[in-house]
Amino acid sequence: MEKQIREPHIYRKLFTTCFMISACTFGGGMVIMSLLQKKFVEELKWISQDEMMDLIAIAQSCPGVMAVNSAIIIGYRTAGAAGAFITLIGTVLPPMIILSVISMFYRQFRDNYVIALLLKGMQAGVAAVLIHTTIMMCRNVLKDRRVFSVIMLAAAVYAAVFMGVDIILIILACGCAGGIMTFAEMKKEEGSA
Amino acid sequence: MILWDLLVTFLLLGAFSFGGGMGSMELIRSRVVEQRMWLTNAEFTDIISISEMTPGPLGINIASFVGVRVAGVPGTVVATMAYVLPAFVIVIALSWFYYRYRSLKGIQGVLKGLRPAVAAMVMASAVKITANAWFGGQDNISFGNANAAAVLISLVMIVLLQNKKIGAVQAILLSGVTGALIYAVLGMAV
Repeated sequence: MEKQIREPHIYRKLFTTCFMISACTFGGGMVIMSLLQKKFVEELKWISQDEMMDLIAIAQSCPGVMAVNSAIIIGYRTAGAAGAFITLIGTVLPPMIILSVISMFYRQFRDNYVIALLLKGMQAGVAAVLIHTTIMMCRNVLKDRRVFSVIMLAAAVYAAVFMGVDIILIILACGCAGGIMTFAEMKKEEGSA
Repeated sequence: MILWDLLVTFLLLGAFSFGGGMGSMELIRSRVVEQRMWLTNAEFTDIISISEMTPGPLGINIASFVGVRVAGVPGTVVATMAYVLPAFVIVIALSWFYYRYRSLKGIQGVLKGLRPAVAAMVMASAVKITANAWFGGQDNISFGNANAAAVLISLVMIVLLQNKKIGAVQAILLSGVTGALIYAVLGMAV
């Protein structure tokens, strides 16, 4: 196990971070994941970019909600099983409270002009966060300056963005390609040694 | 007993909802609407709309909503916790495995191969959401359809984010307020 983060009030920090992100985020798992990445990788620097991308791949390959899985995994990484439980509760609590209240006032909520305007404005902000994360991640993939990385990224982007291929298939294919590449390189090293 | 039914149903849904969000909708609908008859189809569609307007992931929103409708506050706690429990166990098991074996060279190769997939996945999501925010959907992409205010807000936010001037939550909230003001001044219909 990687060294856990030694920090005073780590549980409180994990809880408030996940609670705030979950309470302020509209949209799917990728959006919440972008916010977690911004907070834990870029601001707190508790997790490296490489590690974060591995954790996302793990979160994605488990059943359940991507956003919750990412939060659990970050909690586990930084503060063990107790940390995972804290981030789980922090992430789940806001929607639970909000949905319980809104289920009583849905119609009034939906027809409110100011709320509709705010929601529309927020769409542009969500788009910005996702573009920012895409830039950071592509840079990270390309930082080793290998042709293999460029080809893999181009192929994955083509499949995901233009062909609409199921992301589970892309993950499987990329994992296999990475494994085969490493195996081939190890063989070559053995041969030359 | 109703709480027991909620527990069993949402444990199962939690264990089998792969693909996230819209991907697992059909499975949830078949159980909640057709098998248990806790909601009508119309109510189920309503929750999806609610989910789009409220924070939080879709699956959690549905579990919370169904729980509160069927059995009040205890219902929402049972349904939501049951829904996330299978993932909690599996995610921790896989993370343990990852930290135990990730220094192996073969595993490192696989993980390195996965990173382009993750980047592409985020990009695909970025394209969809940006198309929606800027052009009102992926089918309407053209210069004339662009929502200039939204494009401008997004670009300013990207610069601020890249320069680490603001966090992501601030970027979204700031966009919401700025956007609402601009749209209100323009008298835009929503």
